[in-house]
Amino acid sequence: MNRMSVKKILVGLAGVCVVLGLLPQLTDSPYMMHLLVMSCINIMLGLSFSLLFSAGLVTIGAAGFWAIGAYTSALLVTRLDFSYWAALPLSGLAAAFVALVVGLVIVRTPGVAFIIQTMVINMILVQVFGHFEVFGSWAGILDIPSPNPIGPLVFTGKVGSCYLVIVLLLLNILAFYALYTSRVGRAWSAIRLNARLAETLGVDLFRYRLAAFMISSAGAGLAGSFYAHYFQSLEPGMFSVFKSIYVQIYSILGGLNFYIAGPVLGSLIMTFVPEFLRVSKEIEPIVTGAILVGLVIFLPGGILSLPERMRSFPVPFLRRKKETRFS
Amino acid sequence: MPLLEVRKLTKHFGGLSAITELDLDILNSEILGIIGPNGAGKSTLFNLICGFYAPTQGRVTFEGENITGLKAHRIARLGIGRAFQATTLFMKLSVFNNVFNGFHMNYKEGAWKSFLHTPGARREEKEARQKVLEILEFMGVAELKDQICHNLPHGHQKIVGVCIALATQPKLLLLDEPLTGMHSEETSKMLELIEKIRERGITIVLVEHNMDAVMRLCHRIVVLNHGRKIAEGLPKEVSGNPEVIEAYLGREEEG
Amino acid sequence: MPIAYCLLPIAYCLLLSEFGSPDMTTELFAQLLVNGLSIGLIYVLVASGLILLLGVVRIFNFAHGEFYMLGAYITFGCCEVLHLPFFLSIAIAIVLVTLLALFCYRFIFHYIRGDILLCTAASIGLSMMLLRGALLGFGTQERGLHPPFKGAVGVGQVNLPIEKVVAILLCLAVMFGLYYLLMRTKLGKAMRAVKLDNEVASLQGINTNRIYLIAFGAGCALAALAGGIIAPVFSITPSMGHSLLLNCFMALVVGGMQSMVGGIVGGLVVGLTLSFGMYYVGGLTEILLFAVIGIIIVFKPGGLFGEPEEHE
Repeated sequence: MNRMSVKKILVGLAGVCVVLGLLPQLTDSPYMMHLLVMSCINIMLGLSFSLLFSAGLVTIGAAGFWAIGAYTSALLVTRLDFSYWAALPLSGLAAAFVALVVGLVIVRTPGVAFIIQTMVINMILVQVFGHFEVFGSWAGILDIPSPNPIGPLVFTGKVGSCYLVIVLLLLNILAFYALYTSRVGRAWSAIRLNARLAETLGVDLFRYRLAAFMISSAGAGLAGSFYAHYFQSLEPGMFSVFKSIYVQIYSILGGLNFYIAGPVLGSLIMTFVPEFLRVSKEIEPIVTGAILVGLVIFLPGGILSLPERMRSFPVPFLRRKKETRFS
Repeated sequence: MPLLEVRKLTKHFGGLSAITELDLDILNSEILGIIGPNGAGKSTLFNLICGFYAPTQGRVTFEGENITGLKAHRIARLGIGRAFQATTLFMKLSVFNNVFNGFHMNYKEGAWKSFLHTPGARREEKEARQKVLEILEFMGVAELKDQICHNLPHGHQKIVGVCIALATQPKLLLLDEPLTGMHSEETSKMLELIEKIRERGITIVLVEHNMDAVMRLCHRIVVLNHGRKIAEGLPKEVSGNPEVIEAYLGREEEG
Repeated sequence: MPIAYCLLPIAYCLLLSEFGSPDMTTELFAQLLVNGLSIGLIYVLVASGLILLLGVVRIFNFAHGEFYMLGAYITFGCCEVLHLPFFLSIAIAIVLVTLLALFCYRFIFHYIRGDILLCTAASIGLSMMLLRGALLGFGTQERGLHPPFKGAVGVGQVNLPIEKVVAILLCLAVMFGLYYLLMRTKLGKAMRAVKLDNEVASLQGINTNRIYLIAFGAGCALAALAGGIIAPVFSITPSMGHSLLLNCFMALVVGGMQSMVGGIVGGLVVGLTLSFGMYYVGGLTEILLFAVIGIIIVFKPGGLFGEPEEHE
């Protein structure tokens, strides 16, 4: 990275900050602001999924780590009187810790086994949160306070939450971007593209995969911590495998090969568009399901792959089936 | 002291014995050729040395240290590099990025510093990029640096594979059928390059089917058949060896 | 040899009952055993279908449970509404569901064979559509298929519910049929060849595309068959496939993704744990199951019969 590109990045970042900073001012409607907040949370979850994907692992358990972050934060604040600002990083750490323990076992078998195991982990976590009194059982935890004010900054209202989540999101993006452009991100790419070759280049597959799992989970955990204090009540049903699947859709819709822009685009679309389309609740899963299937067949690279597609094929949906090796 | 020592190496797959009681020495700065009919166990031998398989029995020693059963990435870090038989590359990346990935383990600054993009880490990465260009030039493919690998013809892909292995700064380089699928011009070129690599002080072991090339290039040759060593020595000695001839001819009659 | 592995689960539930309450009577044990076996064998059938899809066609099918569910509903419909004989209803269910499955293969899975993520995503989408479609079409009320066989079977001093015994026998018959198909017939050998290495198989003259189609159909047929068999035993709801699939995944995690034997052992372990667990620990049954799976995974991450370490 030379002087010029560092400058460009900083300018770009400043521009993005300004735009995002103005966003909450654009609308008076608390509902729109709520959607904005939710889409930011969803983006963070999508980023976490994409990070793991960049290392070649697919997870359907993101909601589980989201839950760990949320519950940790809620418990620390409501039961142990922690300040939110202390609980936030601890939630991330808690999620990373669980990911470490679980990962030591399941990261050894990447591939389909891993996918199923993450799903099982998610289910286990939901059961654990639902079963024990400590976590409030199936009724969950209620009356979670908003984040404590820092000086003049108050986070109780929608506007305050908006700004907070945007800051968290930007930090998240920054951190992940730094990872992707560093040796770590390159190693993950190498593992994803050709793990065998990566091994001969000295990449410790297990360590890097485990690191990806932990970082991805920490990200989801942080998002969970914010969620707990924004929504102010938690119950295990919110964190089902169903939600994890939605997280996957964000990344696929946006574009799997775009680790940051993909989840951003996908989450924004999935959060805002259903509101405007006003699809009846009844047939919503059918529509979502059909979109998902359509995406996979006609546009597996996601929306962001369209420009590329347009260039190489005149008719975007002509695809030859490929004989691929199962890995 | 030999660079690599293999003693009584044995590998069973289920009921099948791919390699049986193999003894082998690889001497510093030599070019060793490993030949044998198909199924003789040549690729298995490479996989065992590299760490992709753990031997059922036997020992592998590199620079005096026992490396038997170590995992592949550890062995790579000790200085054993490999270019694969099938074109094993990061197909979707450019040639430059492929070779750049090869430098992964040769940074002194830790990965953490790389994440933080410290000046030290950035400087090292810049130096690495320089070295990538040097390697590409050394191997004569500098003009391909921005091409995406899956667009390249087979011959060029093979060369890129060797470049990646070179980027790991190996002491011992294992070349798995580097000449397969190349026509005579490309073959001569590759032979020159292999000799050039050796001049840099890297010991080379090749598995090859192109007998002509092997005889011309290699200092010593080892012949495998059915997982055992049946001959070893200078090219002249080996090519006259009746057992070797039978192994190849015998196969032809069967097939 | 596989038969020996099947004795393992029996030993397992004896173990479970040792930890349980002291007043375990033979009657109770038999009931729990039959219950567990009937559920377990259903898991085995469905899991076998999944393993077939995974190994031969290299596809991960999240919608598998929905094929099972549709099998159950069609059997129910034929039996209760059209008053057709039980076995004929199952046959019809199998045919219809297989046709649907082949349709899905041709237009969806055909294009994404081998890519795990895309398969997961597409089959999840399919599952969502089928599940919601069933919910809207069949309604949320539970249906029950009146058992075509009445009464109880007496074994020794114990009375066993006949539907479950029949279910067990039917499942065993299907499994033997499957074993015969895979091991003895040319088609089965072709499928195994494709599973091992599809490139080599096609070089040997096997029409891999046809094999994929057949294997996919067969795998989904197994699910539908399981649905039909279980229709008189447990209640039929649109989400039955979903919950069954989750348990099947656990069976796969326990047994390993690639081997049929693993599927058998895995399915039986899950079924028996649930059956015995329901009696002993009630609400904590799920957690007991997770604990058992957890323990197995720690020692054998790939499952009891799975690949030991990653295998690139």
